[in-house]
Amino acid sequence: METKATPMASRRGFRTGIEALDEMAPHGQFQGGAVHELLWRKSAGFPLSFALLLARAAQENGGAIAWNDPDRELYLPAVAAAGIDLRRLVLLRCSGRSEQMWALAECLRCPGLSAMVASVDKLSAIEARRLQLAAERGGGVGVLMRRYESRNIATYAAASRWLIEPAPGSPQVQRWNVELLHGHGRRSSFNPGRTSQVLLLEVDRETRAVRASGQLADRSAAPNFAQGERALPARATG
Amino acid sequence: MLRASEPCRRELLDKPFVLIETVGNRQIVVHVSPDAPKEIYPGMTLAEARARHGELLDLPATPDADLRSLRALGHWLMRFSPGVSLEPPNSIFLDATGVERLFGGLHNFRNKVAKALAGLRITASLAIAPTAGAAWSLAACGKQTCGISLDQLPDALAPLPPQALRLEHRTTELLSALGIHTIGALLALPRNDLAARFGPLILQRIDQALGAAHEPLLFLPHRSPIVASLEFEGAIESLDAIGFVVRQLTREVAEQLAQRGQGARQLKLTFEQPYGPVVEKTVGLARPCRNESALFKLLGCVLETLQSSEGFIRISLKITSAQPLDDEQAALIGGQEERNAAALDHLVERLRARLDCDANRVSQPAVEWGELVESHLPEDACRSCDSAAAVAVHHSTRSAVDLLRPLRLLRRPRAVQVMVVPWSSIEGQPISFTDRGAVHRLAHARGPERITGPWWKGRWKTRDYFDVLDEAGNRYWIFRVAQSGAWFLHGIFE
Repeated sequence: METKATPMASRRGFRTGIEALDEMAPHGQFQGGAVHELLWRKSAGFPLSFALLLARAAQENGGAIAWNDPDRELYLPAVAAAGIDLRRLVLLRCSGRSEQMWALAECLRCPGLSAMVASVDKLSAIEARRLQLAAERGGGVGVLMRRYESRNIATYAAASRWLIEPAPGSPQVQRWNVELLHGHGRRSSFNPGRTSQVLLLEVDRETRAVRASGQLADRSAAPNFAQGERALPARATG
Repeated sequence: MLRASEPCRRELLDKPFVLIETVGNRQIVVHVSPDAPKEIYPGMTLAEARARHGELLDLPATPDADLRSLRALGHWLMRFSPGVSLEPPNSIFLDATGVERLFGGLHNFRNKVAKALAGLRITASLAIAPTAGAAWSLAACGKQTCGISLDQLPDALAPLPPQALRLEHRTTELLSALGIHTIGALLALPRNDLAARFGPLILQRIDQALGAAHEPLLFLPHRSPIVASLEFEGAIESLDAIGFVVRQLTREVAEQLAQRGQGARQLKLTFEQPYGPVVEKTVGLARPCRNESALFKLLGCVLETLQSSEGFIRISLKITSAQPLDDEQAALIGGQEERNAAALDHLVERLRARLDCDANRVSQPAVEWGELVESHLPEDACRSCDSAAAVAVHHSTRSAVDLLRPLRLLRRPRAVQVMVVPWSSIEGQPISFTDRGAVHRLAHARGPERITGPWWKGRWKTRDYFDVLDEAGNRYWIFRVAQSGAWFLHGIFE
């Protein structure tokens, strides 16, 4: 048998370091041993930056991350610039649907990986459940990028589900609206009157600093936006 | 005893060459090919040798690789004699005791070995003598003798130079300075004084050559391949049955590995069909392993890719590559981190075993790592590696990390139609672009950043990149070819 991680020790959640975002997530952090879905609309494109934010936080937590990139379009210099250690980034090239589902489940089941990022379109209820169980066993985080249009509405296995949409930027910053559509186990302080919560995430086009902007977002649930700023650490000096 | 020359390459066959070793900033000749001019000798610098002979080829000396190939040759020569001993750097002893009955005489034995080595295109000098030392001496001097007796040895060795006794370089130089050019002359000297003058080794070598002292030879251990196989009376087809058989074979193989203290690095499963061709599946491992269930899990991934219409009549499992594995328990007593690393290695093995064996798959590897390469061309700034250990720790190059690059770079830039500010169509900033029918009105554009390909890449190579943000907030990386004015979408900041 392969080495089994103890379930309690392996349930390692992580915080992204952007307080407003962490506040918004169920349990105040991105829960380990679970699948998180990032939804995107066709007009917008993949939420790669957001996925990378999660992947980096997971990597800082220890362990390697896997990224399924069948078309070889993930641009590694930009990934390295965002603070990912390339030696701990396993690139998968699974394009067929059945082999991809198998590989995802294998990756999630592995205690050596702290995050698995993939773009998945159609996901049946059984497959979603299978991925969730695999993640529970491995203790890592599954980040699935899915089309908003093909999300399952009736069945639901992910720990949290986010919608990421681009928002009009300015010459200095690129912006996204990040909306928590659904989350298991919300905090008790969560405002019950609202069904969703929106956050405006900004990335500086020059310095790549990511921060949450107070504009448009729900101030009552996330009181301290101003302190949420944080620069990405791995920029080369000199 | 035989002497194998350096492995020869085709382009080296008719040209003089030297092997060099770099010491400090000097390149020193350590080996000279037989057809090189006489004025080139080991110990001189490469520059000096070049000055004497202009067309000299030089190759780096690789003593470790030489030793490995010598050992491989030694194992190969076990087909002639069970006792094979290496004498680095370039000699192998074969114990010929008793082999004449198998090969029909010592002459036949020597001829067979010579023929086999010639088949491998190895230039060898073979000599058979009653003692290992004498055989070495005779072979080193190219005397291909065979079947001389112990009494004839002093006479046979007498005309040979003292170097043939495997003496230290210092001793042979001293002997030649003293005017002693043959072993005969050396033997004529008073024995008691030799050790005092030249050290104890010289007496030992003389005695070993003449049979007065025993020379212990360290024979190579005999390695038989680790194989397990099972044959059936009729063809079996069901995957369950095949899985059961493979499980048994794995158990046998794991036991053999445990006996040798080794772990498998590569396994080959061979399935023989009654009429069809033999199906072979190879599985590689990232680290040596002899854990039965781990191996079976890997092979199970392979079995899922198996296809046959008629079933199999024989299944065999062979370890094609193995490495020493110290303690199986390391994974159990190691820390959490080590366990996680091992789990990751197993994961990569499983993914590779299952995905790379898939016949439908195009030839790209299923699991990769990436590393950064120093290049100012965005598409050349990274490449893939096949293991985490191969990833170079990236140096903080400007091109790699400091520049603003999109997270998604299209493998082929896509042609787009761009509208630029009207007053200058060649130099202007883009104001909107149309990509596959969708119009993106640009709110902000930054640029241009000019990137030019290398001079040998033809005419259309100067690209002016713009980092643009459309009104919806999507950010793209588009470029204009300066020579033609055509626009392309190259990347997306998602």
